[in-house]
Amino acid sequence: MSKIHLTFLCLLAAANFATADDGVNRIIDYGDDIAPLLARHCLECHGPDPEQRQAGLQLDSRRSAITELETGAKAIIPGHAPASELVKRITSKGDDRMPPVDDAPSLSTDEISLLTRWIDQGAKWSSHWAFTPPIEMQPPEVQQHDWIRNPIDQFILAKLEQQSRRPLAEASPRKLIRRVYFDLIGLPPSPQEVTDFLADRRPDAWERLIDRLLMSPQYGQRWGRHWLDVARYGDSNGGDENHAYPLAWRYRDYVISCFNDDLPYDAFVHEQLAGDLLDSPVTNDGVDKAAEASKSDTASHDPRKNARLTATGFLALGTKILAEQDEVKKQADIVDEQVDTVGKTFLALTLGCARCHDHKFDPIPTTDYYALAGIFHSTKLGDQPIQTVANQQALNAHAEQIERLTQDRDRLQSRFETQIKEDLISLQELEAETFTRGNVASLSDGYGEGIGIISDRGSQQNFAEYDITIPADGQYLIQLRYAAQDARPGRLLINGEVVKEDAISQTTGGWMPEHQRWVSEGTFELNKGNITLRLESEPLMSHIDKIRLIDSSTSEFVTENLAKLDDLNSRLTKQKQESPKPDKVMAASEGDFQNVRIHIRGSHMQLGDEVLRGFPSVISTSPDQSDERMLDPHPIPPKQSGRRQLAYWMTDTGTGAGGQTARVIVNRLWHWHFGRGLVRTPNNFGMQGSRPTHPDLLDWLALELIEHDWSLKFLHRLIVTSASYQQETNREANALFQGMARRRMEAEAIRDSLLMHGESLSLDLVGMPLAVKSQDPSPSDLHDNEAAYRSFRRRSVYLPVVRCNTHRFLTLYDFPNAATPVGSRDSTTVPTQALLLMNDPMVMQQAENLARTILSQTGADRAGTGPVTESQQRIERLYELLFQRPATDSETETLQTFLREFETTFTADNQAELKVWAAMIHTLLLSSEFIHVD
Amino acid sequence: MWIDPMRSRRELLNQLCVGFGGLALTSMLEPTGLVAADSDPGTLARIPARAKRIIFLFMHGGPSHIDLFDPKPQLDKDDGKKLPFDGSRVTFADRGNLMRSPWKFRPCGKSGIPMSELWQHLPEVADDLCMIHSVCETNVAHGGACMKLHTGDEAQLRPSMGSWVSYGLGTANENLPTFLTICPTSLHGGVNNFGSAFLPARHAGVSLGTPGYPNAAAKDASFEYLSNQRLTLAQQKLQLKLLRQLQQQGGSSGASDPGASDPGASDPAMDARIESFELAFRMQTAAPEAMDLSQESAATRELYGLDDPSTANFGRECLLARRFAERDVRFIQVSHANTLPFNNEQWDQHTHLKKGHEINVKQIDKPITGLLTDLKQRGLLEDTLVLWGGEFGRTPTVQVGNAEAGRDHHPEGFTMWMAGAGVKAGFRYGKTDEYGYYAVEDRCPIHDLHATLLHLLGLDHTRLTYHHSGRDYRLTDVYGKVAKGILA
Repeated sequence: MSKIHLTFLCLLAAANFATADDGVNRIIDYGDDIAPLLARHCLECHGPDPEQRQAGLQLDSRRSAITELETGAKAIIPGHAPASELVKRITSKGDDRMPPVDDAPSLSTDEISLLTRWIDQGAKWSSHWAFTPPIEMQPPEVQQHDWIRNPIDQFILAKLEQQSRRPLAEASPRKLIRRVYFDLIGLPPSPQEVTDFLADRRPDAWERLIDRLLMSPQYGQRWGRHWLDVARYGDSNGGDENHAYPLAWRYRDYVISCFNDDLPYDAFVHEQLAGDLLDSPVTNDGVDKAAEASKSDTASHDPRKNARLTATGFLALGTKILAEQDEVKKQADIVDEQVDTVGKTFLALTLGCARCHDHKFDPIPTTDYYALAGIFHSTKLGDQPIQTVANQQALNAHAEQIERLTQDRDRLQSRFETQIKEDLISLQELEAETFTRGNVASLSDGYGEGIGIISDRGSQQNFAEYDITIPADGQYLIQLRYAAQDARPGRLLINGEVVKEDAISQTTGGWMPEHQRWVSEGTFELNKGNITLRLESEPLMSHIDKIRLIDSSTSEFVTENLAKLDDLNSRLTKQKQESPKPDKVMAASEGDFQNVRIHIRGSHMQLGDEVLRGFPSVISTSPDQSDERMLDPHPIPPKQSGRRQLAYWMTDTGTGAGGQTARVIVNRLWHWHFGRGLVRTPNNFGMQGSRPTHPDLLDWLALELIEHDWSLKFLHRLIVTSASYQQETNREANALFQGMARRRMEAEAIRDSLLMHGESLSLDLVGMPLAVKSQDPSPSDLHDNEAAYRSFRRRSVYLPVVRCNTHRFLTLYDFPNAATPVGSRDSTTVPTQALLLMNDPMVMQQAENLARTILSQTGADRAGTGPVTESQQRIERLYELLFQRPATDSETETLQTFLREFETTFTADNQAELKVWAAMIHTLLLSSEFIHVD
Repeated sequence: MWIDPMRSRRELLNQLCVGFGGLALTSMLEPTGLVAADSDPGTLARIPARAKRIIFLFMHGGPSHIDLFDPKPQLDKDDGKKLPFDGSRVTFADRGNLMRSPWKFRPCGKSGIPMSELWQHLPEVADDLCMIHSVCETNVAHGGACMKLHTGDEAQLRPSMGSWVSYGLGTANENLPTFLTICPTSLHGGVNNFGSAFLPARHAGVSLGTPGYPNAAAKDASFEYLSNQRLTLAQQKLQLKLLRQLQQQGGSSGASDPGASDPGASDPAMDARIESFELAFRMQTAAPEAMDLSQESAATRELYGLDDPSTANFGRECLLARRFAERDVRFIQVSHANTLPFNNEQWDQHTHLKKGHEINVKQIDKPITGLLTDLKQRGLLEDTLVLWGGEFGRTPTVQVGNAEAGRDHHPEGFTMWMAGAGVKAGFRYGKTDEYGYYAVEDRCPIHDLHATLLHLLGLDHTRLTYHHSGRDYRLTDVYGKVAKGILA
């Protein structure tokens, strides 16, 4: 009995109260009444999937349903319910009852009645609402005209009036300002902002407030986060192996800035699917808006280009099974994740269902899945460089540094040379490779790159001789410059005589030019005239760059200056090698272009027919054209992946999915504003999803959005300025939008407002995530992560989403798990949340911070307040801060009693006052009022 | 949907009962048919139950079936020869020739279940064990295999089996979580392996000890946010009193709403939230009590090997498991998931098979034997099912290129065992071929294992579904059949 009751309730919700005043003569609508019922009970065996189909009967197809079956019966005979086999079977008491007795419960009386009446009325099929484009709608006529602020209200009111209900009254200004602050920027208004708003008597005070909030950068942080739910944003892989995605944050910042800049939603879609391709010239399809825009950019440095590439991170940042040993399966799984995400995110279609078989409920054949899959199989994912301002600055700084070092070196060099000339200092420096005689190799690349060296040609008796003219008799210091990772000692000879047995014997740390170092081999008596200097070593030779002879009377001065020069030169070399690495983003790019073959039952081991790359056929431009072979307006050339065409098809309102895409985003916005969408399942508009409660409003809004250049801020304004939005609070969301639903705040809003009240919140706009450990973390690493999270002062949207190890504060308050797109968050109440708020040191610290502030501030307001005590004033201020309302007398009294009682738990504690107030504020932060928005 | 004024507030709160892992107040703000269905998922799926709870002893890394429980005389004979048939298409490491087990086997107990000489204690309870020698899978990497074992899917993130059990059965002790995992590893799926994916978050496993690599030491296992450094329990009690008072006085989120059908009444959603605080407060004492091993006798502590440093850690985990089983936690996972000096994962003996398996068995042999003995003594084995196993077994072939011989990952046929409620005792089920390579008789893929576990718990795996993203999901996807042969 209770089961039937439940089913009945489901039906009630799904049929939008249709049965509440269900006159017998009402026209039964296929889409509203019959399709959901068939999907629930029949289509698994009598639906679009031919493999599962029983008795050759497909009930979502009129042709099949009215055709004579193998048994000779006809499932449906329009106009004749009693003669229809379907009715006989669903009402049968015997074994032939449908759905089969063993597998499922029977249809309810109401369901049977609906089907019967629909057949009697002629059994008219129609296309599923979501697969057809929006239709232009006139806002309906209503009775209560004075309530209407904009056309949204006409649609809402018309439904209410049909149910003989009235909208709720307008909420108080205090409630409204709290509501709209949390809604648009995710933070509470300050007491001053509340006062200002209450004092603003201008007729457009509300509109002004909304404009100000929409212009605030905090808006992008709030609404960007909503999008990140849908984009299943994460800073680590979070599958079998949890490697960090150190570049993902750039996509997050991209999303935030798109919202703040009100990037038209169609461009937002294009960029995320094909941002890397939007600069290429248009070849064969519609107008390339982005390319046109970039043509008008005069500057060669195009920040939009970075943004577009960054946007494709959307395709790259899903969870993957990184250790999969079967590369083909791995690739198929990665593509599957992309197809599923793209389908849910933009079209609210569960395309992923068609990986293994034709979709059981929606007309999505496997060929549609593999047509899309081919596009992503033709796409590569990887990190790619972008030109950022920071990177450009680093490059500039680097060039300046090189310039400065070069100048220093040149200045010192010329001063030194001048001095040598003036003081007639004897100094000779030879390049080693200028030997007069020798059997060694001269290398000017590799080990001698840029400088030229000598070394062995392999094992041999190596030698190199230099004929040198000595200007005057005297003592000469001889130095060699060389690189040697291992010692390759040899001998130094002058005029055939060994003067040093253990020469060239040092190691310098490597073989490469940067390891070159000057080494003194000794001071020798030389006579004026020609000498022969010889270097020998065997079997191998160090990498010798230069030789020097210095008059030893001046050697100190000379070596000192030479050392300085040497130092500058090596710094210069090093600097040149260390040019700043370009900033990178996770991105998509074109890969190996290919069509894929159907994977039978989803297995890469069993391949069927090849499917040309393309788009879901379920989206048709009009209900009747699905069978026609129209000229493809978005053909995919063989040498392109098709992402670009997919992107334009997605927003093409003429020959693509533009209308559907607009509906999906409109519904998402509505959901985030009201806590419930016009379609209650934002990621599933298919047969198994909910039907819109206000289909006309949904279509009207979708077309308004398209009309207004896909501006989301336009849509926000429209919604927030409606009377519907400004209604008094209702405890629960309801299908009629009678009243504004009371809502538990999201995890981020709770954490951000806690930090804000504790004066610990930073409102910085961009930046890297915290460096936290995500791969193979030990328990202590994870404790460190948690500690880092707790001390992190920026808004929660900037907390790293380490998949599997997301900050507990967020996950406890229903933060999505970032595995698949999330269009609607849960809002649970569990005691682990209570434990967190009761015991988390971060929460208590914010309470204490606020207590300090409150205790130090109140003095100034005290004058002339008569009998009001200091603690009353403090409580007053607290309520304005936390709840945007004055405390009632009884609340004040209760709190004062608490203060007294709590104080008795301390003995002789000089911080008792602070602790008592901190405990009281902590309790206010635990309260339901604090974490709910009315 | 409007709150029916005919139903009492208490009745409603009972329905929304906010236990630790039990039913939570989901979306009171958005009541739907789906939520209504969610609040009693078991109705359709419920069948007679043999077990009330499961203790899963998870051996991370892949214990070698042919060195522990599945002797292969032909392998001994053909030691050093080439595998005489085709091996797996996809392998993890390079595989060499056949390698016999370094250990001898002997029949144990009256049932004669074979165990290698590594096991010194487990033979005592051989007649309680139900060996499944034919578990078989496909994924050769730890991550995919661990996720398959824990969630039924190797590639997509799906709810873990414990979360399905929590969803299907609900809580039997609202002061403790329904699904607990003691010292889990953060590797190879990590939190996904006890997560709830798209099931409501309250069904996720609660980790006792931070998940990590290596996993947390049992002595450090504790619940998060369960104690307060600044406030005493008495002070917290005052806070809760204040919370309740403020609620009753009705701030804007407290009492009357013009929109409510019964404007005078308080908001049940808000009342339920207050109750969640009171329950949280009770949990602050209940959970530490459950974990207080000082209440155990010296004999019991010794039974689990708490007196020996080599067995103390795992013994402590097993003893905690028993204490939670006594307190009606539905699904308790115990992980043997540390690291060894010569292998990254506990049971992952690509090299050092001999040394590694000796250490590993030593650490768990006595604690597991103690656990089974203790459960039996207390009558808990009657309604508790114990499951032992890893994500795969190990190859009968040697892994190429290591001085200290080891074996590669091997999902095609390996051994897990069960003991307790509803399964045959002293029984061997399924077979691998003469080398222990492929499961050849009564093959038991993970989906079948899951179907069987749910069956034992009184849940029909084909009817335990959750509607998500346009379709009904199951732990067993579209597969799975109950291994009826093992049912007692």
